[in-house]
Amino acid sequence: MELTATKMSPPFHLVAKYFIASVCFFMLLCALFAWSWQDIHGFYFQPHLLALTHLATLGWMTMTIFGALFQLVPVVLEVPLWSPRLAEWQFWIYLVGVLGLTSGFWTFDLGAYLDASAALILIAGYLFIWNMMQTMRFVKKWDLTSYFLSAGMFYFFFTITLGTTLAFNLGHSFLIRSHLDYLKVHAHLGLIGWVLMIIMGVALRLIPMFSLSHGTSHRYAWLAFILVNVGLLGMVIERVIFADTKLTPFFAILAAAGVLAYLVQIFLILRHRMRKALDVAMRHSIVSFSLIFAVVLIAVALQRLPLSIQMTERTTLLYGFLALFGGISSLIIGQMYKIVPFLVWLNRYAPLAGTQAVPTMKELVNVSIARTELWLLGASLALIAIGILTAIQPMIAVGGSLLFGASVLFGYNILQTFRR
Amino acid sequence: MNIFDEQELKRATASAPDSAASEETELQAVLEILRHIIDPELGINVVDLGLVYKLENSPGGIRVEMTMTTPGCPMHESIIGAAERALRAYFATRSIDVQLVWEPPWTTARMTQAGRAQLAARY
Repeated sequence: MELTATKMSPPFHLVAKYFIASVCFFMLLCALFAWSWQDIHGFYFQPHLLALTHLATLGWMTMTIFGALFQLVPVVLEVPLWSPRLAEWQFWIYLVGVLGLTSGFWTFDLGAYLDASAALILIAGYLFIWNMMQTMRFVKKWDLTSYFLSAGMFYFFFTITLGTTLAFNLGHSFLIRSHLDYLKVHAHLGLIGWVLMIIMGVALRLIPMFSLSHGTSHRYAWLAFILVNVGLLGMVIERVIFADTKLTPFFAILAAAGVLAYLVQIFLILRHRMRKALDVAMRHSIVSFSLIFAVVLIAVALQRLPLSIQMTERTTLLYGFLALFGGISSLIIGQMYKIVPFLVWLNRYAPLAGTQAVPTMKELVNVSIARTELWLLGASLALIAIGILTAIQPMIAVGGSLLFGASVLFGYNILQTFRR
Repeated sequence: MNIFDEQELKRATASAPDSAASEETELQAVLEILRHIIDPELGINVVDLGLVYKLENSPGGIRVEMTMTTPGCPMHESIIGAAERALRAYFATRSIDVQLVWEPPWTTARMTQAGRAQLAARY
């Protein structure tokens, strides 16, 4: 018997829990960003920036990815989730871990509190990887999306393992080599290996689906997959095993070329789309891809341009900020405007369709609020980016407030969708 | 005919489409019912989208072959289920079989004029 989409889907409340938590984390993240505008400058290794970064990567992005993969892997790859019960346990362990780790960084409470929180995140992460490995064992048709997802989970394993080691090292200082050396590896494994890899894989499926663009060859996406993996693995192996950085610019350019190849792929998909006008979700994606392009240029500039120490610090901060809040967040927000209505529709309205009039998925989201949120988000990103580069702190303060406003509109919109 | 209006549905069913009406009229009724099944992502009905590939009316029952706009569309079960429920409510005494097919792949060329106008107006 053929298993169908609804039979494959995990329980609604399980996925909803992950999404609601991630949206709340995003609002908290933006509130804390606006609150701590005076800390957004200089060297990145400082308590509040560490807390904000982990709130963004763990609370917001990874929590969303968990929920999205629990929902999409069974539906898109046509395999049921191996253990919804394990995913339920994972949620609570992870939630406590993220709250503990980020509050520990914020107050810089090193030692047992931070160790225990990091250990909880590690356990939850391993549970996720195990659940997904068991699920994906049964995938019959492996395609490029499956490879992106598998690679993402491979890097996630190393990201959280290294991250936990670094958290322990903060309190107990046992690593022989520089903490910051490993921190760079941890950050790139997490951002490029885990978050970007998963996003690239999922968007490769969702964007053609939502824009009605079929039949485009995935040649450039394959090229992207190879280049980003070679670039990232090269950088990591050189730095960790050979304790060297001579070839880092070469590997960085390979990874950057991979991201550009992916952007070309998305451009080709969108060029062949049958839905000509771009809805609010697709507009977020366009903003995201433009900012990812800017982040790639900044990464190359950091490698190639002879910048002063001060400008290197500012550019590095800008690189991290635009990657987290611009490129990745706007893509997640846009896809969330599609995935959450889909989830709600499938759970609440699919059983009624054919027996009574039901709303469309578009009607489950308040489009005018989403449009206002996108304008606010764009304005805040521009203000903060200029503020970081020019070190004009009031600009960051105003931008931070706008960013918080955008997050509240987004959060309100998504939480309302869940109530419909 | 509003298939979601219970009174209207009862009146229509009372006219016994499976016994008195011609085969052609029945197929028209099938199409009319399917016009009320809306693709929840696009907001356009499945007939005007050109998703209905084949309609068969035989003594054994009514058979529909339809596709989705995207290969592997995750909504396929919901849309097929909605079509089956709507047809069963109208043709209460007949066997209903709605099959999902992926070949030939759907393109916008299959849309009706009304469907194209809606796609252009909405997107």
